[in-house]
This record gives sequence, structure tokens and C-alpha cells, in this order.
Amino acid sequence: MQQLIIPDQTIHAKEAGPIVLALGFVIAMGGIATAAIIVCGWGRVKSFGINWQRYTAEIVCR
Amino acid sequence: MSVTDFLRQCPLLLESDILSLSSKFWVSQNKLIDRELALKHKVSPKAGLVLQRLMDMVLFADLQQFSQQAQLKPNELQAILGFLNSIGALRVSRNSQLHTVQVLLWHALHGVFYAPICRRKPATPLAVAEGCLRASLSFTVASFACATLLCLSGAFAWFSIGSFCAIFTATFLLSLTLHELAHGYFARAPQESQPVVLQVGTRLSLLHQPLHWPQEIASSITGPLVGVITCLGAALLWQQFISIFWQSCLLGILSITHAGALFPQYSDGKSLATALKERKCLK
Repeated sequence: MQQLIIPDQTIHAKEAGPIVLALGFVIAMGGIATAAIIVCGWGRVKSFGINWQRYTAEIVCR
Repeated sequence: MSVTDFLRQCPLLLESDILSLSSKFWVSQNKLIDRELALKHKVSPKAGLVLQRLMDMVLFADLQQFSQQAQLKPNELQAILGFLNSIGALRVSRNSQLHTVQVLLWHALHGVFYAPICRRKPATPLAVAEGCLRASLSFTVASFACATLLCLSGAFAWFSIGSFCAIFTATFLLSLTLHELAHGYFARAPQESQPVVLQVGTRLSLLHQPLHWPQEIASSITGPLVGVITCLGAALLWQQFISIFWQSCLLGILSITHAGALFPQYSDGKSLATALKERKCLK
């Protein structure tokens, strides 16, 4: 392929980085919510959050 | 980009698809000339034959036959088309979108995935907004799916999480558009060619000619700064409708995503680091 096409490398690109980060956050939140539903059942989650000191998700059921 | 990257960039092409090279490109003396960005990609004589054929509209089945006659292997043709798709040079027109979705799903079930067809437009405000909207589609869907899960868990009320999700998504799309427009403002002014927006799936890029280091630094910093200011403005604007907790979430999470683009190994931070190195070398 390198013999077929040699791209012009002078161009610069600005990638839209926030999309990947925001998508990562939403997927992480969705993952925790799914885990909370599995642990407590439908509508039985009281609260959940992340313990940043222990790096663990904490789920409280009703 | 490596050879594998070019192969991966090839979209799903059906035999009935009509392919052509974008009107912004020209093939001359073994060079693929990008008239919009004033670039010249070197091409081999064999690849040049395929590109010459693509100057006019051609049926994909005919192009495959032509490439065989030109003694190109199937993966070489795939790599050429992948390269064209990665730079937004490939135009594809097809009759049945439904059939395409069926084939895509069928192949995905067997573990075969294809790159989306790249969209390339001059970086006008409308084109940037459209690119942001398309690239963020998966984020929007994921946000609303996440909101549904949060409601079903019972931890939040439907109204509070629903309204927050709508505001969160709208603020993100607006801040992202302004973030990219801020980059575009600095990339546009001193250049002989205008920047272009390239959107492939969730990937959105603003392509421009190299900038001098002061402009590069300004461009790299202004984008995330404008994004953070937009989030701050939105949090203040929505304070009557959402609680202080949700306001903090809105401001905090979205601001971090914009500021996170300044990490040195990634996105704007990478451009900033390169510009700072250039400045240091010139001193």
C-alpha cells in the first residue's frame, strides 16, 4: 500500500476530543445504573455513587 | 496511517453502487490533488489508473473488473478506496438504503464491521453544526438510554432525569459546535485554503493547513475555553429549571470533557504541545 499511495503529511487535524470523553462518561453511568438494577431490582434503588477514595461504586437499595 | 488503517477505512460497497471521486479532487501525473486543501498525494501508476477511472462515475462491479485487468489485488483496491474514504474523496450513490442496512447487520452478526462513509464539507458554521450533530448521535442515544436506566432503577424521578438529559445533550451539542468553530476561526484567517470538516462515525476532524505557532497555541486553547464558557453560561441559564445539584453536574462533567481535550497526548493538547515545542526551537 505504501507503494500505491503516499499521503501528503503537511495537513493538520483538530479532532473533536470531547465526544469520546462525554460518551465514556455516559457509558460509565449507564453501566453503574445497570449494575444497580441487577443488584436491587426494578425501581428498588435508593441511591448510588462512586467512592473516589476506594475507587468503588456504592449502591444503596430500598 | 498504516496499511491496515487504510483497509479498515473502506466502507461497505455493493456491486450496484456507483462510485466517483469528489469534484474537489483531481488526478494528474501520478498525483492525487486535493484542490480544497492544496495537498498533493503521491500515487503509483497502478493506483493512478483506478483513480483516473473514478474521475467519472463508475459501477463498483465494473471497477472491480477494471482493477483485475490492471493487475491490482482485491485488498489493494480496498486499501485505495479506504484511503479515499479516509480523506473524504469518495462519493458513493446507491439505490437501496434498506438493503445496505440488511447487509451491514448480517455481516455484523458474523463479526465483520465496516467504516462509515466519510462526509467532508467546507467548515462553514452550518457544516460544523451538522458534523457535530452527526458525530454525537451515539452520545445522544447513549444519554437517553442511560436516563431510561436511571429512571427504571428508581433512584431518580422521570421528570427530573428527563429534563436534565435533554438540557445536558443540548448544552453538549452547542458547546461542541462552538468549540469547533473557535478552532476554525483561527485556522481560517491566514490561509490560502479554507479548512474542511471531516466526519466519519463518531470521529469529527477539522482539517487545515499548518499554522504558525502563535495561531496554533491560540486555536488549541480557545476551543476548550469556549466550550467551558458555554457550559458555564448554560448552567446559569438553566438555574431556574434544574436544581443546584444538576447544575453542578452539567457544568462539571461537560467542562471536564472540554478541558480534557487539552491533555498533551490527545486532540487539542497534542497540537498545543507541538506548537510550544516549535516556539522553544525558534528561541
